[in-house]
Amino acid sequence: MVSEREYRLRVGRVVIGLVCPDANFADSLGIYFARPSDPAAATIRLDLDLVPHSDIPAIPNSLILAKTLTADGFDIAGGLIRGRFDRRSGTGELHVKTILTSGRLTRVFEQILYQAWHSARERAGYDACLIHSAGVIHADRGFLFVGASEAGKTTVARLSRDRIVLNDEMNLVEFEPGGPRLVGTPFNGHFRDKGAGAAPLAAVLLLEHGPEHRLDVVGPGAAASAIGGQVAPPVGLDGIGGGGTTQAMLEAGSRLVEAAPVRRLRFLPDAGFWPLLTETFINDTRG
Amino acid sequence: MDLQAIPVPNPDFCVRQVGEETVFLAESGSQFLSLNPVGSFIWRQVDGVHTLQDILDILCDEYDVAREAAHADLLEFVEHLAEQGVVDLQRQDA
Repeated sequence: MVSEREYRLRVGRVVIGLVCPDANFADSLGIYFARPSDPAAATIRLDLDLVPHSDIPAIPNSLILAKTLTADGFDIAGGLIRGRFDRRSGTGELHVKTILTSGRLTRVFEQILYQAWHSARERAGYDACLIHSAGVIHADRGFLFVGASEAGKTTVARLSRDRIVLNDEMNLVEFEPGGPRLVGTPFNGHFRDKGAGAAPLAAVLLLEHGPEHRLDVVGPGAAASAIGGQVAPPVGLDGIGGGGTTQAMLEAGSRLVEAAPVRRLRFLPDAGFWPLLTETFINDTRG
Repeated sequence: MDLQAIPVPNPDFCVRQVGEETVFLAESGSQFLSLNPVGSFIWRQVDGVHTLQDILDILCDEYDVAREAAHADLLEFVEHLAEQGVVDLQRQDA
């Protein structure tokens, strides 16, 4: 019997169990992520403690860069988040200042869940990576639109409402023997138009605003670097960045370049890029 | 730069072969460099042991290229790598 205080967040093939202070908070997580608690067993389980505070803490851009290991676990940004994780048992705890649990700052809270996901992924032996991207399923094929902040991910998602939009910010790529698969994630809870699904990856598009809709070939080195730079650092709850993190991001980007076509997509803020993508990646492969 | 210099890879760069290209990414993620197939071939000889002279010999054995032109191109290429911080040029007796 699962406790009413536990919210189970499925991300791809792993499930993060968050044991909340009370059932109301567990329910609010389900509302935020627009997904009910998953019935499957949790891959890892974390006790979540919300820490009241009277200070106005500084919020770092990156939780990984602000993270230090301590004698009994880790600390992020001087107590903004403290915690520990035991990879052998797959259990741990998170002590999170309450400022991160409301408004736009919930996006910062999500970053600790990226780390939790990596811990769960490692535990499950799951060959996949998280990528800052917009993900769309069109004609049963997955299209991954990759770009840094302001590159146009949310615009692409908005212009793709006739298709299945998985996420406008963070998606998963599973490396399968038959080829990579695009899978949506529940992250960015503020984006309410998420569709469910997964599909074989048709193409990776490096986003760039431009004066016309246009696809250009990108050299494999440049493509691997651009994609690698948008891979969520594969750092688990018990780790910190550095020492191979960038290499692992580059590795993930390179694997994608080797497994799927990559093009630079220059686009105008209208849906006119879809016929171009259909012609190039759907019709051509059917011909 | 003389041909007895030894180019030594900078461990602060991540390196990955992608197809026929070689891609470098600074550990900070802020710096990127990509080499074409010939550059990748040269890079594979950069092991902290081979001198530029050794690399020039290997290059001339591998490719049908005039030695003088290969010499000039190799020095220019390695100088570029050094400027980018991808390699450190050391003297043989260093």
